[in-house]
Amino acid sequence: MNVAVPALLGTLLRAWLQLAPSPDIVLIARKAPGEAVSERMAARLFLKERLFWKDGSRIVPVNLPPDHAARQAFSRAVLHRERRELVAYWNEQHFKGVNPPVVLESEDAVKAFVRQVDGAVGYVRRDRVEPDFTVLLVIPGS
Amino acid sequence: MRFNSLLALVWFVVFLVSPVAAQAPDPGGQDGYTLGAGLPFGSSGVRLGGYASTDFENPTDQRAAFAFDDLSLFIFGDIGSRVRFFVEAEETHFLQVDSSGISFQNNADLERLYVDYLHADAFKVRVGKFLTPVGTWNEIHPDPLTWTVSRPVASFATFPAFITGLQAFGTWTTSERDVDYNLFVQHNGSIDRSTGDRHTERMVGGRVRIRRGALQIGVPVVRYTERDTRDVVTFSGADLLARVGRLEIRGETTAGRVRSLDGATRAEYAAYLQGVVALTDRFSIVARQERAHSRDDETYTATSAGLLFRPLPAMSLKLEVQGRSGQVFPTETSTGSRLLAGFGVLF
Repeated sequence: MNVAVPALLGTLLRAWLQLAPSPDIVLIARKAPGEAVSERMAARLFLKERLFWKDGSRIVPVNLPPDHAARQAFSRAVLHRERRELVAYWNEQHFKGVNPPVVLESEDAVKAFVRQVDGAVGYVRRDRVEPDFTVLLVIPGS
Repeated sequence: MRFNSLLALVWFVVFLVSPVAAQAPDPGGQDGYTLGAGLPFGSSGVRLGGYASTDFENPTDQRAAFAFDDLSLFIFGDIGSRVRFFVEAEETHFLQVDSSGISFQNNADLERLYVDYLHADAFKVRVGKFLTPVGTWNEIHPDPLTWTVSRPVASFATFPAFITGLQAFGTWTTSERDVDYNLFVQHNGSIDRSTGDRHTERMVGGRVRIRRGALQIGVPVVRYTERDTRDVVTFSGADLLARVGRLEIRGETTAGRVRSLDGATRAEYAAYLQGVVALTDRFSIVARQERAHSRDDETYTATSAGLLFRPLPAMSLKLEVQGRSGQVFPTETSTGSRLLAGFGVLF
């Protein structure tokens, strides 16, 4: 009985999260990379299938924690994968010697990272973006 | 009785762990160890990992045995923005328990040792010892990440699984598809001569693979000289991976011609087709059909049916029934049908 109650609450929470509207997300960089970024390209950046910007500089994607609303919205809308599928993907990449994107705790930390690191690209909720960033892609919420 | 008890213990531990591990760990953190993603050394870009697997085999024509099949440790990392390295050492089938007792064997080898120079997405260079880019299974072969305890012969036994040499590789992307290429050459002995079933001193080959959505198709062409026999083998092949909903179809085939020193030529081929249906996030059923024909004119067939349980993406518990006929490869001592069980974890 004690085990069933948390399991039921977890199921209800997951159902609520799936029904909850997801926010608009924007993909940001410090400066424009000189090429358009589509959703498909954004997915390739965050799966580390693409490593370099057009100018030859290294792309450094940065993630939010898996429970963050912006991360969940980004994963669903751009990567089209659930959390477990992404973990399986990164397990395979681990065997192939590919490091996953850095995970930072908050949108403020993501913005600070993108400001400081050459080639960095991150995502935040649209209402959190500041004017000194270049918005590469807008991912509408539901 | 003793090995059945060991098997039961492994199963018990896995089932004990699985409810606790309901949520798969996120692999991107830099602050600590994550199962399936290893141990990062801070923000250095260097990471330590590995995998371990055990299996239980009960063939109809031999005694049952429980074995520690693999213990692998690897370390890899980025050095700046354009260089990365990978080193893997592995101990294979080092402990076996059967009705005659416990036996130890040292089968340590250096599986991979290479450095990549990442010039651009379309042009990267790899130097060292690495997995031969043929098929889909060979490049991601550790037990925790595969579907059955047994490995299809077409994925390792008809070509050298490793190459020590030079590789150029990369990806071209269009709006709808990705095209990967690999070109590789070996003109020397292996860094570690003990690994793999086919030992080579010369090899040249390439592969083109097209990926579009949930479908990918690859075509390799390879020519190599075997170290011991001096036979020259030329083969081509094809591999397929397709995912539709909860169904995954995977297949590989290679067909080659073997030319001996005396000028005689013989044919060999191997193929498998496998289907996996995910019943839930953690449970899948697997079916596979294999057929191979050796240069010695032996024909081998195998039919496998199995159950795969993944409490976490990095952990697998497998049960498999395999019917076999014929014997293609001398490394296999058993040829009968068999029951297999295995546990593997990527760490």
